[in-house]
Amino acid sequence: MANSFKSTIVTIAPAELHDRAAVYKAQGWHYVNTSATASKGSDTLELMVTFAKGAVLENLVMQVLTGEHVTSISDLFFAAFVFENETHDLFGINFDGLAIDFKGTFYQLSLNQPMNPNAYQAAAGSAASKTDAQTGKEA
Amino acid sequence: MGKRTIIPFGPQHPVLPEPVHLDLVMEDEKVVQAIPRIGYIHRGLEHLTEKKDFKQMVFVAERICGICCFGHSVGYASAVENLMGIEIPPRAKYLRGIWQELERIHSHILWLGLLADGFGFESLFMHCWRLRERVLDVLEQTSGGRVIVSANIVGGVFKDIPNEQMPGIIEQLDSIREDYEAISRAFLDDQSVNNRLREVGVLSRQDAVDLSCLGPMLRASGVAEDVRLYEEPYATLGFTPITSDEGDCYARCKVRINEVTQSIDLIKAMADTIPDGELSTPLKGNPPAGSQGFYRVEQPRGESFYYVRGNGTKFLDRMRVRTPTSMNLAGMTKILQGCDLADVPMMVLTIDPCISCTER
Repeated sequence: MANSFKSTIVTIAPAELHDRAAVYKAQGWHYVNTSATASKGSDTLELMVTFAKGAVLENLVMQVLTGEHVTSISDLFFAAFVFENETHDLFGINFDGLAIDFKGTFYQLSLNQPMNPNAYQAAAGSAASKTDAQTGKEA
Repeated sequence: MGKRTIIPFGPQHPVLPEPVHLDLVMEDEKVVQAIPRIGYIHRGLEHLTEKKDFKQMVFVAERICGICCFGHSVGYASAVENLMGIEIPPRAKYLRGIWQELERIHSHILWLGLLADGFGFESLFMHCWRLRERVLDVLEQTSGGRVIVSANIVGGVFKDIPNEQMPGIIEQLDSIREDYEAISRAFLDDQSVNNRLREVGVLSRQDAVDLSCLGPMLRASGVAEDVRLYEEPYATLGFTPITSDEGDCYARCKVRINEVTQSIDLIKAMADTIPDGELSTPLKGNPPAGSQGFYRVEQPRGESFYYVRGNGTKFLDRMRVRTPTSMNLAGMTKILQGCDLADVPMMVLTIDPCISCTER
């Protein structure tokens, strides 16, 4: 179904996220989503945080490395804690200052960072090592 | 300060309709804090997108949930249409709208039944689900499926509701409305129901906005926000959201009750004005590399957000589905603070949780 939505993508640095989110909150935007996308062959993840006001969607996009720390926006938008914990468990991006931090136990997963192919590559590269990066097992 | 204990509530509990887990931090009979924990039925459907043809994924998206299924297929297909720059025919827009409103009707009536079951009104629960069967009959007549409609493809729909069938559908919906209005009076007027719902789980307008609540949970706190305001054919039909100001469990129940009758009116309006024409726009090629598509759908539980990214092949780089219950969890933890343990089931039920959607 067609609609009158207007979507824009704004590229920012990860350090800008919290300040930008504060501006959106002050202007009455509502928080929509936090998610990450991984690309095979690239060691960066694309983190996207989406806000909406009426028919307008604005998506803040930033490149982060696996394990990089990003400031959580759950102090501004409490509902973000769900998606930030999920993004941490599935992709391995760390969020500092989470309103409720499940410390990696939000989802009970048998693999660490299952949606991050870079984590798989790290495991294959260190197959001879005693620590299995993927399964979290130690020999 | 009383002694604090933690009561695990769910994912298996007789009163819970969905497998949500809450750690209820209790001081005597009062809930001090409620910590949600999900993942019991996480199936990795977003990750599956990377392995399925993007055209096949419509049918997988529809199976994210067993109640709000058609909405998910609309959202995913529309996001891919947005990504590929496809405009679907007007008849397809109206057909999607008709099925979406039928889904809203059956979802809300299902929820009303579960709410009645939650406060022990078993006969009302059975009446609600008996009535819902008639709605499912209409869905089956129009699509062949009672719940899983499977009519969407990328580019439109591949099933039609012939114009000759529309008067029969409207007649059935009018008959359902009569029965429904009798049932809804039990929810709105019965004193024992009122005692369980009024002034329970109050969420103020400001809190509902601050906690990013969505759907009937938001509208019951007085915020007239609905994605259908920006969608065709709703915008053409002069759609306005149903709201209430009290923000309690009763208000959330009242909003959903009124949305059912509104959906019947919307279906009638769409059936009267549906244009003739093609059902779908032909699809050419694969999603271009680096392309991105966004879409929002007003599901029965609130706004769902869909994001897809293409890479030039028939497999998408990413599909992201953000469902309304995952947002409303924050509001639920807020209304649970300070409530009595006996009121917890009502409050959980009134957000109309759908954990299949939340956990994908």
